[in-house]
Amino acid sequence: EERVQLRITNPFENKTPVAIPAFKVMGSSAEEQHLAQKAVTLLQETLAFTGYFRMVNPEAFLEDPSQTGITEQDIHFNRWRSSGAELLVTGSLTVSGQAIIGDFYLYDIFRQKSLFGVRFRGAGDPETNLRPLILKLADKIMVTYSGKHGYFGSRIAFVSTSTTGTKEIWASAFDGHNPVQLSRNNAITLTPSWSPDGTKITYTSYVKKKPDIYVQGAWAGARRDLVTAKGTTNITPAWLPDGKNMAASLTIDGDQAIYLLTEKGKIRKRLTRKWSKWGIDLSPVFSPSGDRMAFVSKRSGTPQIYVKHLKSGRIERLTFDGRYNTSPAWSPTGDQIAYAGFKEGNFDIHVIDARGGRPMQLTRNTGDNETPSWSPDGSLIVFSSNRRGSSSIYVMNAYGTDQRQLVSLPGEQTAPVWSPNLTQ
Amino acid sequence: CTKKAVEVDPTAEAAAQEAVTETTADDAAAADEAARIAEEELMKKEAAARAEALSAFENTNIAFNYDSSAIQDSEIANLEAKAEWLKENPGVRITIEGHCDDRGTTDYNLALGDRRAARVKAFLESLGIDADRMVTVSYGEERPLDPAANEAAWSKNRRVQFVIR
Repeated sequence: EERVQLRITNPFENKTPVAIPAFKVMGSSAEEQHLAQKAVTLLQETLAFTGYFRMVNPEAFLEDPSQTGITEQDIHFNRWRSSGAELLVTGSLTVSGQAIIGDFYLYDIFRQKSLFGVRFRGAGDPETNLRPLILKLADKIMVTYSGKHGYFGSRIAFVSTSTTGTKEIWASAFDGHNPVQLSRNNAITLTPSWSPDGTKITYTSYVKKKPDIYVQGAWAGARRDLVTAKGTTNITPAWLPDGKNMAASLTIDGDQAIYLLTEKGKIRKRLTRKWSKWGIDLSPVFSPSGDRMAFVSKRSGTPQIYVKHLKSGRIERLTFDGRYNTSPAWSPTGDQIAYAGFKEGNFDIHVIDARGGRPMQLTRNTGDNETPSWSPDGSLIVFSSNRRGSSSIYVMNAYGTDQRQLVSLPGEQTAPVWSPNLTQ
Repeated sequence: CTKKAVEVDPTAEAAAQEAVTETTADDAAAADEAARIAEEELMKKEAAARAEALSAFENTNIAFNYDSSAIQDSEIANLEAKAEWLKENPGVRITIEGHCDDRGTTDYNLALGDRRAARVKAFLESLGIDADRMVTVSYGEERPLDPAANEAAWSKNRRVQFVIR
């Protein structure tokens, strides 16, 4: 039957030009100047990170709102149009003791009008409050621009090697800011996955000298609880969208098969049948509505990705290109699955329609690119790459452009997984 | 019961005495010493043989093809030698470790490593080794013997390894 063709046009190609001139500072202290500059830089980086915007070069600016005024009657729209801007952000910052106050305006240059004027106040230390305040502004700009909230409260967990030869789970902010170590297992720890409410992480760890499944709060040093150690190999845990039950690949019945189980390790039922005593089924991930499960199976002789319709039990094979396709990730919009496929000597990230079709290859000729994971709105994909020698975490948009490194830490970073969007 | 004198065949008696050689006290001591040394030599040799068999058991790994957990024909002799050694050392319990080369993906290799260890255990069971003596564990691609990225290293890393518990 006619296979659905993936959208070819890439909305991230022509980016909306945004002008973000220096913010006005009420006082004249060096600290305020420094904060104002940091605010502008962070807003530029955050909007550019989304892939929808590009920053107009400040040298092209023909007006300085921090001197001539930031409100609508001060703005000369034709000057900003000739500098190539379609959107303009102006702002002023006031730092008073233990609070920082920001007044911001967003202007539509073509329609020559303000889209919003807003005040954000951050109580407490201005330095630490600047980032949450600017991310709130960035989110308001995203809602105005695209009608959808941004994901600036989300985080990215990943595996990082330690100097002692073990692996632990780390997490950074969505843009790689402030990576911190979450697990303290002092053992090889792999395959992290977030709970739907973003408060917990589940993973496989060799804490008891064999691969077992644990759950831990998503903050540094949170307590670790065992989910199950029943099989010889208990791996690739994932929550169902309902946040109550989980699925994982266990060897409790001879083969390596996927089971539905509770967070306490109570087995509910088998989700994949035993097609061979030596069978391998693993890496379950669920569609946002929870009606389907994608997973990796060797039932056709090589590791391929399959989709199981949970109500009817029907299983379809999804990937036919190449002899090794693993690490499926279901996009939050529900229509696509990203995965790592091995072809011509390397692993690369592909996306395919969740109903089947021709895959689209997103990375190429850049070493091994593996373990993709979607941003909460499905616009970006984070993945691991060894293009610079040792593996580290990269991000790109859902069409494969704007690829860049997200986190730079010593050792090797792998298996990135994007959390749901949490309110900042 | 009737008491009956045990009759000794005179010729046997004579033959036995004939066999007794007369030696001096020194010679006797030397002979004992030589016997003791020979005895010690033998024990040392046996201990060495046992140590060699142990190291052979622990250091010869079972090799696998890429992305496969099937027991290759070329490895059957190896496995039979393992079973032999286990039978000669009934008290020993072992861990069977499953390993992979790092070209696959981390998660899948954890499963593949498990399948390799499980198939070796099943094969040894078929050779008469009691399942309770054997525990399996998979390390996937986490413990390469040779971290290099070439076929020689990969083939070495695609292995099942035996560890005495």
